[in-house]
Amino acid sequence: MFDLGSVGVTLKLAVASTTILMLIATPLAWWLANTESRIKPFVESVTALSIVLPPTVLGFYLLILFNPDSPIGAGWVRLTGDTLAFSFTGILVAAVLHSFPFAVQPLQAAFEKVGRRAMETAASLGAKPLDAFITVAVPLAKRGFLTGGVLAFSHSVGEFGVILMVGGNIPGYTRVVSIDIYTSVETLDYGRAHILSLGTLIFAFVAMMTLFVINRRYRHYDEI
Amino acid sequence: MRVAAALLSLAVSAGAARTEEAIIAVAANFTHAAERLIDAFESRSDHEIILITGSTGKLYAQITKGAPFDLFLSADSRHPALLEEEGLVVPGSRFTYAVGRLVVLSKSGLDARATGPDLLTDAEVARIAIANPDLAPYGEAAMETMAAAGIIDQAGPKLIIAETVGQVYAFVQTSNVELGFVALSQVINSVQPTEPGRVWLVPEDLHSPIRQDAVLTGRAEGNPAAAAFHEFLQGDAAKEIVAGFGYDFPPADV
Repeated sequence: MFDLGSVGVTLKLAVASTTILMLIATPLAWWLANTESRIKPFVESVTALSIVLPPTVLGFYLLILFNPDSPIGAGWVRLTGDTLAFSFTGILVAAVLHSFPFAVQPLQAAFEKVGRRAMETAASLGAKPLDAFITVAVPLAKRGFLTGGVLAFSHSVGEFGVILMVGGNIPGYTRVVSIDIYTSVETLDYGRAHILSLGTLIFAFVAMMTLFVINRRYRHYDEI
Repeated sequence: MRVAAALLSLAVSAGAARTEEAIIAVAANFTHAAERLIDAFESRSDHEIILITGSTGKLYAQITKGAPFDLFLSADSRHPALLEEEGLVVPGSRFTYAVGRLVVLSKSGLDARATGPDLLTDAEVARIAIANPDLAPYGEAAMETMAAAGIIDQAGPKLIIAETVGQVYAFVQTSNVELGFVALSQVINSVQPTEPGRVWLVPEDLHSPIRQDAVLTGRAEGNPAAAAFHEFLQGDAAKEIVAGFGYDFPPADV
């Protein structure tokens, strides 16, 4: 029987990280789209860092931060009794950090397109800010949510380098598909590597197809 | 004028030396020793050696796929023998360059009172890192040790699988795991002299001997740098360096 454990871990990781990312990215992207603060370029740069950084840099720093003798690592152990390195939570933190810009940037672009006028109109009709955000901005920025969601999900599925460094390759917990393929290739189990790689390839294609279909379908928003 | 003459003589002597290059692929446990060996070799030779490190299984797989390595220093005798069977080596070039020793390294400040195999099942120990047994002979020896001590069931759920003993060492040194199975060579000149309490030398009867074989790959044929380093490795100067990292030699050689 072909062991699909790593597929389960990957899907769980991608669903969890996408959910967390959308929750954090939405308010941040909204703020970035509307602020005129002088620290905006600074926040934007921090947000975009992981596009440029090699995963090894993130992996190295996480290994240092996760260590149970460091303040963060120790706090986590006190809180949960478990260490962050080599745990599912640990690779989830890594995936969220690494996929961060892929969720924030499409959302920010979409919110910038919503524009001030739509929000001011909503306010003049008596809508409270949160109400206006949910009933006006979110539907108008639907394409940004879909794009950010698909990108964050796909990027989490494709996560490799950071997990190699902080994951510990534990079946059922931190052995994701990309690590499984790597280990299969190294141990010359090409049959397994083929099946998992083909599956991932098909997934990547479907994800990109989805993105381009979304882009086509929502193009008319740009023309309003 | 004098400068030009000096430059000319320099150029001539450099040309006469016919510097050649060899790439050697070394199992991770032997990294520090290999660096020292290369320094010693290059100081008495005009040849240049380029060092690549990785897990034995990975380097073996790369060689079978045509990686440009001239000399392979494995962490076992099985993988070089496989290359020999596959006809990918210079016949007769295989020899045991070192016999490795396995140690358990504990993280700094570990509060465990147990010693020996009991350390592995101590309540203070939540995670034990080993190198991937499918790729790394030291990982295989670690599994054998736990099986021989009859604690594989208790230790199993605590295992963290690293790529190489190099990664295991990093996991322990950053305190991300309590214990890790590494090579004696990795700690003999660093941790052991200063904090001997952190190192448990695994008795040799708990695992099969770690005979580390070297072999010249077919690609090395006709490369004087590879041949010279291969010969240097078998000499007394090299053996002294290797012994300095805690390695033994096969009984026949001593």
